[in-house]
Amino acid sequence: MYGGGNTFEGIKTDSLAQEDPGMLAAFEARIERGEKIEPSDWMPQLYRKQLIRMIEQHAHSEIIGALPEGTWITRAPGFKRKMALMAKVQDEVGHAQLLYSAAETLGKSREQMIDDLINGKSKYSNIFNYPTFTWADCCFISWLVDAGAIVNQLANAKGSYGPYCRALDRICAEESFHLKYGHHCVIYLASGTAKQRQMFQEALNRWWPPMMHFFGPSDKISAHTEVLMRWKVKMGTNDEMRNQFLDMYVPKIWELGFTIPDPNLKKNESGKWEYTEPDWEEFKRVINGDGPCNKERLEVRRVAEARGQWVREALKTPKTSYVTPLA
Amino acid sequence: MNTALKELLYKMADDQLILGHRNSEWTGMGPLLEEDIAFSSMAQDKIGQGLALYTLLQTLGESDPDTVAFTRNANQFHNCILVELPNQEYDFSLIRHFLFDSAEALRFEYLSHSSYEPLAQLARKIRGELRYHTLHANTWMKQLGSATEESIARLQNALEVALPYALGIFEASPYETELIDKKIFIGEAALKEKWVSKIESVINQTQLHLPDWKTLTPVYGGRIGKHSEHLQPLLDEMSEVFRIDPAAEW
Amino acid sequence: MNPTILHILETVKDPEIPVLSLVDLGVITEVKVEGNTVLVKMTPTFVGCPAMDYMKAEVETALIQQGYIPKVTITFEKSWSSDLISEKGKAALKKYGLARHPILNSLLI
Ligand SMILES: [Fe+2]
Ligand SMILES: [Fe+2]
Ligand SMILES: [Fe+2]
Repeated sequence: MYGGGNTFEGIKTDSLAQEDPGMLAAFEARIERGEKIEPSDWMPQLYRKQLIRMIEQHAHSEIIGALPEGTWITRAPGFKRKMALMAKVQDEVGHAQLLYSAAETLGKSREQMIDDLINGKSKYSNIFNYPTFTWADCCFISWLVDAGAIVNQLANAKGSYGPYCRALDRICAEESFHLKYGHHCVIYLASGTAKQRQMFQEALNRWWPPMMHFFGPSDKISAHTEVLMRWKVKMGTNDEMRNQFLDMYVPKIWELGFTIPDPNLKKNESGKWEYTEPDWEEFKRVINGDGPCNKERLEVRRVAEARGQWVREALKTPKTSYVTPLA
Repeated sequence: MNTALKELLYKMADDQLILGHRNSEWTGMGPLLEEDIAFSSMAQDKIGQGLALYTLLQTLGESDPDTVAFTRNANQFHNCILVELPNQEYDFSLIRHFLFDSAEALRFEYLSHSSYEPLAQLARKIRGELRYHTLHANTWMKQLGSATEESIARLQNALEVALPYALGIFEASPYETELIDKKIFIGEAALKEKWVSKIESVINQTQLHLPDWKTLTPVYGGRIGKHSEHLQPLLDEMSEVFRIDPAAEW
Repeated sequence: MNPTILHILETVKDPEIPVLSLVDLGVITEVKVEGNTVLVKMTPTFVGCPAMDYMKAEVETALIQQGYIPKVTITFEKSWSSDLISEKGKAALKKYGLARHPILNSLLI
């Protein structure tokens, strides 16, 4: 899963000054024609840098995102849920693996990326800095956070960088299964006992604000990203993505009889969703490290890395390679 | 025959469920992403195998798998103690995976010839899955068991801790003779013998060494519901949501 | 296999691998047509496959939509292994980049 609204740095106007104008024009023309850029192709430094940043954030979001749901694997109620949740979280870790490989094609190693994650240098989706108190919180993530991720990922899959798009095609196929699983879980809570319904309503109340944050700051206040849109690095504005999500999922949430905790939420005549402006100060605070679970999440990662150090070290000694059954 | 058969199925199903549960605790915590995924895969296989065995028990008149798995107390579980021990460091988890899955691979190999056809059929399926598990275990044992000073020392230490518990896998059931006579299963003693030579053949390809088997005292009790202090908390955690309302559908 | 039924079943894809039909994946092990009733036997790729119920439902829907009465059973009579993936399926998987078992992946670092 993956939150959009990844933080792009504001682009300085002079950052393209040192690029060869002819090469740059040819590069932009290729993207304009809908061609994919491949690792060995020429690309502006800024393109490389922003892509690494974005794919890396995405990869981190997958492994950090595995944590709030992962803690429910051991508690999932019944065999069906337990096995499906295990498969889902495993997929998320697999997504991280795919994405780290895609980012590596741009010249940054997985080790470096993980180091930067642990040091707090690179970001991941803000939403995973919130805690999962109950099973219903876990179901909220499986259904709606994954739904948000799909909105983002489907858009990004049409982007310009070949390895990232191909990774996303595979990821999206798996995500659609996650979404079905998550929706199913919520339907059971909705049609279950009063207690089950209440559990989900409370989860919805807790998770709605971070869900609105998920797509990133409103276009009015977010960094200028025109060049990234032209290069098909960023495929839609934050508000467009948010609107698309609301359009697809608000009716589904209402259909199940739950109340979304925003009295101003409604679709206007022009088909756009109106809502109470999310608290962007909180968003900033959390992304800068001061959310309810930032420390805990990074600490888990740090400890896992430290405890696994001797294993990775032992793998560096030469070894034989193994045959794959299907290749 | 049913009592003997049920006893056999219960202990195997409980083993799979509990170790699957432990393996799944590595999700998000593995020493590298690939191991995260591998342990998660194996956990899914094990829990699925447990479910299939509980489903077989249901056809013999036991309760449905969810009720059986999520509502019993520790003293009603028949898994060996080895599988309920906490994961600890990766060295212990790997050693346990190696010792246990080597035994399981052999167990289901024999069971695939069981005179009880539904079990034989299921065993043929499970046997295929366990091949990946033992391939994984053996590869990592050979790699880490001969790599660095630290990795060798860690595995050696974990091996010595785990072996007495591993011998507990083969704790005899009160129905051994019946199971053997009716050709349902070759029996724990025969299985253990095969297992010992399997373990030796892998360990001999590493820089690890096995203690003299005669000096080891098996840790028994799991098969008759006498567990370590670690099982009940595991079960409490597993059933935390389920018990909110066992009649609810989740 | 009856070509009409084969055609219908080929429209049902693996839920996580849209390029691979259940027929090519090899999880459909037997099909018998008796009048309007289609008896299908399926076997999971692994015992704990969480997608099995979902795949079963998809097969049923596909058959119902074409006017058949499906009777789908899940059995281990014939065990799935990667040998059961058709040549077409293997080619599709290879192109898709999903040619390995996750556990084997971990042996290949
Ligand atoms: Fe997902
Ligand atoms: Fe994902
Ligand atoms: Fe998967």
